[in-house]
Amino acid sequence: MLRKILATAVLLAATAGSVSAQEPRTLTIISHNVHKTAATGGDLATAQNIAGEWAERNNVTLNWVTLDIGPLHDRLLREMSLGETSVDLAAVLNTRIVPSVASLLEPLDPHMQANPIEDFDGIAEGLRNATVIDGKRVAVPYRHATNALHFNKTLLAERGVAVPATLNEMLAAARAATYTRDDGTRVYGLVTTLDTHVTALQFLSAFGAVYIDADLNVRANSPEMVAGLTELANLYKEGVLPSNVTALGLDELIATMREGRGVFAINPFSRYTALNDPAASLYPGQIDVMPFPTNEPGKASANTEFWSWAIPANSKQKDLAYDLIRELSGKDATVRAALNGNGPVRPAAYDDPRIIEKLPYAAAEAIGLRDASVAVPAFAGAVEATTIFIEEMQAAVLGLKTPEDAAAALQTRAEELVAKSK
Amino acid sequence: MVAINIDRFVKRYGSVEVVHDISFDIKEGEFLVLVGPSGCGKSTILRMVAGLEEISGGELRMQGTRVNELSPKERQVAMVFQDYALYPHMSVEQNIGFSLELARVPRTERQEQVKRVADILQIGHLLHRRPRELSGGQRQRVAIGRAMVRKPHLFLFDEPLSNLDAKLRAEMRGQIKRLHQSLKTTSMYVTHDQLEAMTLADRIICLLDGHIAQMGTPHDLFDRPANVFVAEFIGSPTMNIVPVTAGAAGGRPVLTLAGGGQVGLPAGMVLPALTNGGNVLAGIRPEHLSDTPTPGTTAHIEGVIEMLEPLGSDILVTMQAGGATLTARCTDKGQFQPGQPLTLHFDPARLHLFDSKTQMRLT
Amino acid sequence: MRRLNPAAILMLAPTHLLLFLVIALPSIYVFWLSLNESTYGSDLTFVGFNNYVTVLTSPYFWRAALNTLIVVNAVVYIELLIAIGMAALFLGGVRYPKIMFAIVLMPYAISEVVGVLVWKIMLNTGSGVLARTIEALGFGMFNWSVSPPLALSVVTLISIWHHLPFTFLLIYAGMLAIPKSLYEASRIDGASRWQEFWRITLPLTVPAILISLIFRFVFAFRLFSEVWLLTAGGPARLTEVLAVYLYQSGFKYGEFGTASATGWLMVLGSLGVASVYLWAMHRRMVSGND
Repeated sequence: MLRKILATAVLLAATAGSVSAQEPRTLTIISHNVHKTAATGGDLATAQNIAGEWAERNNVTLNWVTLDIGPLHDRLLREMSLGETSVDLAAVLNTRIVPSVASLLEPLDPHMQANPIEDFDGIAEGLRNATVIDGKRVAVPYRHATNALHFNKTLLAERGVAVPATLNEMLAAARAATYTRDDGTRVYGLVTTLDTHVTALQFLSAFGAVYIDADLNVRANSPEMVAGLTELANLYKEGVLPSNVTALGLDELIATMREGRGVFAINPFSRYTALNDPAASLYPGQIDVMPFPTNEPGKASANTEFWSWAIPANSKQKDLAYDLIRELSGKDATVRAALNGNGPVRPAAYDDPRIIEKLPYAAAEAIGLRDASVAVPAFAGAVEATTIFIEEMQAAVLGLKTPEDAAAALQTRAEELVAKSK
Repeated sequence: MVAINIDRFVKRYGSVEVVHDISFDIKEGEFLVLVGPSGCGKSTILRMVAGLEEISGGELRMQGTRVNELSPKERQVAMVFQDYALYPHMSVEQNIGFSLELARVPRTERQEQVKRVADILQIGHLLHRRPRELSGGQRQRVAIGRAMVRKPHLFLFDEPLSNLDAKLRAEMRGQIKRLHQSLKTTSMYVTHDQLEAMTLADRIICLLDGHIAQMGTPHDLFDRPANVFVAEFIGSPTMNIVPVTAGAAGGRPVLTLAGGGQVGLPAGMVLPALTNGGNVLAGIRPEHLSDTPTPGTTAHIEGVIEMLEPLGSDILVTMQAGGATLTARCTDKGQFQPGQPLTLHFDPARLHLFDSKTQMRLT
Repeated sequence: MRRLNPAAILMLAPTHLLLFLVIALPSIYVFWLSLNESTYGSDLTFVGFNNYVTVLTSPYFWRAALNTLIVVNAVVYIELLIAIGMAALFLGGVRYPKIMFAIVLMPYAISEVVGVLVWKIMLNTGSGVLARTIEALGFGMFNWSVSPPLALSVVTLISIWHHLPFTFLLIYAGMLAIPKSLYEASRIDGASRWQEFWRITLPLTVPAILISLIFRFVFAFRLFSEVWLLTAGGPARLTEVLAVYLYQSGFKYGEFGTASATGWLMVLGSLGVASVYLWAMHRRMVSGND
């Protein structure tokens, strides 16, 4: 009797299952909030809901899980270490795509052969190459964050300083624009976050300094690195950098610039929208952006990080997830995402009239992307390498170490790390 | 000589008054006991004297000087608490010597005095123990020792024996009595136990609801209770109180019980001035009722034995007599059987009459 | 020690089972992890005590350990002193006791992260209200984030602020449990208020003090969010504490072996620090003092 009841129950459940197949499927995406905004437009009035339209066409409910960079990868890696995961699609930072992680990601080549991505070769070559590990494509580039130099035109004009064209002019301008207002408010010539490696490496790369190159050669102990660190330390000592620069976070950087307490800022091009937001900024439209200058006129230095879409190998809905990647990576979708504030990975997007019209920094970013190199290459010790860099760089900036000692230590420690990772 | 004047004491907690206009004196060397049921205000008065409770109204004088505003220490009183209040983290020696230590008495002198007190109380061998390692009786002795060592003007005891078992209580009662006889320190002692009050007191104040019900020597209270409350409170077993109608028949006074039974009193006995048409409460203590007549027992009452409670050599006999229940304390020779008729004899002089309305003694 | 009968053991079993499942089993597993090399996407490789050697020879571990020890000791003892003072004040009677009590307990009701971030905003160099006040008072720019001693002081301050209610509650409850008659006896013995506190209140609060010290040492050892949110261990890793060190190796580098080893070393460390008080507590229990 009991057996019969159970059998009936199972039958009913199975029927219910087949009925529910008609219900919308749920696709779980884990990413940083910037990817959700790029793909859906978020709260923007001019939102381009690319992912939403796809979801509606395919009768799919999108379940976005957005996390900060560290927790995002931690969660993703743990999910991928399980027998099975509910995460179907994930945004992954370039430094995290290392062999041990790549082995947990679904190889995309079969999917792409069966169902090609529109004009895949239109995606920047450097980014495409960095997402192939051991001959297998494991991710599709989606967003680049290339650093640039933002500057407050109003403040520069007030201080009678011209917009610089070279690195040395920029340093002089930053010094000249540093002052204290009558009400006691300090205005810093240069604002940057030094609790992360990217912006500092951007500054240093303008001097020609490289930390670890794409072939995993450590090149930290160079005259260029020492010169760059020395300059950073001097700027800090002179009060051109904010006094809490090593603890300054992104939110504080944005606030400092919006309130006119900073003249120059190192940050990705796409920060333009936030800094000039009429609702929050005291200087809407006045904070311009240019490729980070070097002392070689016309040549920019640009440090970049980029994000890609990848599918966990233990996901249950790989085809569906791939279909969304395909949708998001199309030529038109790339342009529309850029209008949402994304850094487009297709250089051709910068020639699109919609972008030229809507994004005043499009041309500058196109130059930046042209000259861009990855801040730290992907390898097993990449995260630890950034920690080592931050430590030695902060020590040099705060004067706890000489720039020479810091550069030497950086060289030794990074070499050990690279050797260990090989 | 008067040591302490309690003059029109009032204690209020907010708008609630718990002690109403109470005055009495304590003579030098006297052992005064405040007795009464819980909530009668006896502890409150003691604590007002100690300085632990503010005096809401009235004046406290010691040796004729007002001391209302003085701290307990300045009043030179010592107190023994119901829960002993021994400092658990100090040895017996430190407990007893604490007040001396605070008064900066030199160490050797302090030790001497502690030793002296401990010897009197026979706790000299316990000086290095902690309170929790002591029995109840030993703790009580330490508490008394702590009070004694200060050589106070006034000893205050707040129900010091109520946490002890019956046997220890009797023993400690004796000890306190002996101590007082040798030290002669003026003492004020609070208890709800009438036996303690009777055995210890030079004078008793019986309290009810913040008023003095009666004040006097133990004998006064036992022999001439001023009202039904004191009559019933003092003495064990409790005094028999029976509603009766007092009248006269055949030229002698007669008490008529509620059930119609009558008790004839000797001719020539003069009853107090009666009120309420002779409806009074008659009281007689069980030990003043006897199953065998003696020369003084010129009155008697008849009834039927209802219940027996042997106490050993004595027995409590409860008898139904014309609608009233009476208990007598008799010598037990095995002569009683429930259901048997019994005649109880008494000395009419031992009879107490109270007004049935005011409950006050009729004299 | 009383012997337990089978029925009693059976009734205690669910509790023990639960404790075993949620505490003992994970601890054992973490210990096993600490003997292995492990990261995402790879199998465990047994390495014996290598991870412990790695951790114990790392200067960053020792700096973190030193920072932890300094901050934890400062936090626990300063917090205890303030808690004792406040509890004594409350015991003596304060105006509007219920409102005061609510105010004192409030920090404990605030989410740690929110609390720390609010402090951070108030202390923001150059713009925070507290930082500007300190500057206006003539102490110079309050640039704590680049000065490890100042940053750790701020961590200490916030940690005390957040956990004070816990210690206060324990101490205050301990003081409330002291029979009133002891105070009356001491007043009659001639003790002043100060003597009363010093000779009666304080010695009798020792058990509560011991308990709060044990709890707080163990809790404080896990100090993380204050440091993570304020300095993230910077500048130059100079303000890292052990939990931050563990987080870095476990959740940033994905080195579960060394992270597990750090975890076990932290357990041993906090036990070591708390053991003095555990021992004192045990002695009191055996000798029957309370």
